[in-house]
Amino acid sequence: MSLEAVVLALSLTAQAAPAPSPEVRDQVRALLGNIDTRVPPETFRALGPGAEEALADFAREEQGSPLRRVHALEALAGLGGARAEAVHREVLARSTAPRAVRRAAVRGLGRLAGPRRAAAELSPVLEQDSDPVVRATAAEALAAHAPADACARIRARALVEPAPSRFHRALTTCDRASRAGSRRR
Amino acid sequence: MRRPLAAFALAVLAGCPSGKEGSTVIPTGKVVGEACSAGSQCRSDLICLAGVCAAGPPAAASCAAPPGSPQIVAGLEPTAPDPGPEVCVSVVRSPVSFAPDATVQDLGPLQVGSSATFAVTSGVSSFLLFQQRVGNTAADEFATAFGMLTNAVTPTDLRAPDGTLWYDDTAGYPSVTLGGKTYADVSAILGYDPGFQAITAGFPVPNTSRALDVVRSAGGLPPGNWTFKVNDWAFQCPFGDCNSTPNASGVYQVHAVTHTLLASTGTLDVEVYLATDPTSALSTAAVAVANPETARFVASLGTFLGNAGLCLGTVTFHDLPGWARARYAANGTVDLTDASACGDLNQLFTTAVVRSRAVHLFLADDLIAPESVSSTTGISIAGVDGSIPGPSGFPGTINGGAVVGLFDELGVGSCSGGGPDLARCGTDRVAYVAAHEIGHWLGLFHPTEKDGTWFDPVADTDRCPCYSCAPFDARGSCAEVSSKATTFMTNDRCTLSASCGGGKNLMFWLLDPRFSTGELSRDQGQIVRLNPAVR
Repeated sequence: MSLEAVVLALSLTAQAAPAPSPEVRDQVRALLGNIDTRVPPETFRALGPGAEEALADFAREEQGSPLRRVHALEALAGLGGARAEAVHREVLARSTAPRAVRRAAVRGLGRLAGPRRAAAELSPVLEQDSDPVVRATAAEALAAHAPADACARIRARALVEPAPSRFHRALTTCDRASRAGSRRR
Repeated sequence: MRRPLAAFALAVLAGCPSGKEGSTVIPTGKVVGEACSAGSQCRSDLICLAGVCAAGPPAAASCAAPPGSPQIVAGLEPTAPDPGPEVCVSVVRSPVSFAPDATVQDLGPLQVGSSATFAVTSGVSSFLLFQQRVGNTAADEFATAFGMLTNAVTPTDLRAPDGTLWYDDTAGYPSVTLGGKTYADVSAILGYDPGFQAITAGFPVPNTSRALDVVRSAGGLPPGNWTFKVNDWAFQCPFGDCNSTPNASGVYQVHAVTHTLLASTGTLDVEVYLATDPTSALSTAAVAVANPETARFVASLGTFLGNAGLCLGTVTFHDLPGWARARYAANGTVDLTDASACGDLNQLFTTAVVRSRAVHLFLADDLIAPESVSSTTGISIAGVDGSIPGPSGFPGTINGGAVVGLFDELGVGSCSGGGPDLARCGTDRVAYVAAHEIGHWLGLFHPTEKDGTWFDPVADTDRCPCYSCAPFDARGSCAEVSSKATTFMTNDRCTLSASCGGGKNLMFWLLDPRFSTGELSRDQGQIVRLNPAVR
């Protein structure tokens, strides 16, 4: 299957999501206001199929609370699926979105893509994003989800970063992954 | 005891103009100035204070009218030395001076199982027992029928001078029936500890409505020598079927802080540590104090804390040492994944070494939670406390801080009007979360936990049980009847009535600008003001 066909299939999947009822939207909005207690993804799933669409709406809400957008992205990442990935890519692509929101999109995309695809999804962010903090976040997500594919690239990128210390957390994760890999061998 | 549901209904009727003649309910009970020995003898809007029914205690000298006029200053960088990478800091911290309204008794390093005694003088209104593990003496974990659990610190067999038992860590809880279902009622006991606090822990008295009533009615705690046993869960397992033999290796440095402030107001200072990125809106203490959004944040924080009768005193912003920022808050992110003593969060808290009895609050740009891959985890959080209560007066301990994420909320929306506007102003939302976490530090719990089956130890916060308050079609997924509960108690479900309430409260587990007002109950305010952080 060509890349274009995959993108089309994904977008059709995304369009198939049912619209939420006002009650479901209200419940989703309320649960995204969690302060210091975690809300498991199952809770959103249990609200019914409209919950995913409501989460997508809140995640994309440009004038909305950045924290609510972050929580919505994380809930979507917990639910998984093509729709969630599409929303994450869309939010990440908006350079005017608040940094916290774009960082959440990077982390979520790393999780959603998994070890097989994370490097392909996030390497462009690592190499090209204009925000050094977002680049560092991409490095952390890559180190966590695709160390075998990405750590060499992360180390190389750290060498040319204006502030290499931003990559400390990612490099530490890579070092741990390398040690674990050596032990397994 | 908590008011019965019928009384709630009467109170609601009394508060709502119905348009019908004869619907006014006149409160019964003793009036101001009449002698009493318990709050239940006084009219429902009064308390029993030092043997006399009264509207409340007098204001504190430090705080005539909340929220006061907080001062915002840039302070010195804390002098926390760099322990080096991969080193886990867990040291016993010494107390600050609490003069003139609180005193510290050093009870020494004591082994679990040993008895401790401390003095409560006449006029003392509260105390905080603070236990800090010495070295690695105590086991990190212990075996139970459910698997290994993290060892937790808690006193037990706490007794007043007349021998009355105030807290037994193995005792069961009394129960209350609401809507046909039975729940624990921890407001009816004299001492409450939720447990699960590792390595260091504070135990405050009073922190329940029953204990508050005893203290207020007598004008203070029973004076004389109080006793308790130093304890942790590896030594005395509080669960019925533990698989381990008692482990008596734990040694704890024990302090008792006694406090004499029984007042309707009080002053609280806050030390703020910036775990932020160099490009953050609050990149340094100097930048923070010059940022207009900081003034808005502090003003709104003061408003919310004012609901507890608190005046916000001095809010001091501190830069973190560069090594701490790089190690525990790289790029302005604090990673909450490892909740152990050696995890980033607790190690970050050990850098809060400014010698102050205040609340120690960290601000980070971003908080990362464990990934939502199971039902035990979930979407990330806006803030978190290391412990409830926080270690007031023992700065720099494990669990000794609260952290709040900024998430780019500062200045978002419309923040130009007077007073907090949670719907439109991001800065106010950050202040709300900070006030919530400060409430935890000062000893408050969520009035109703998310699944609607557990309530705080405060009788005058409204409860919101799932099986009574969730919509009918969602009750089958309530935790009362389902082992895989997915129905959670949201603000809208908990602002329906006094028997389905608490959704406006500052300590409710959700912030929803459509419902949250930040209100606090009378007993919540009193618990907060009795914390030794308040002067």
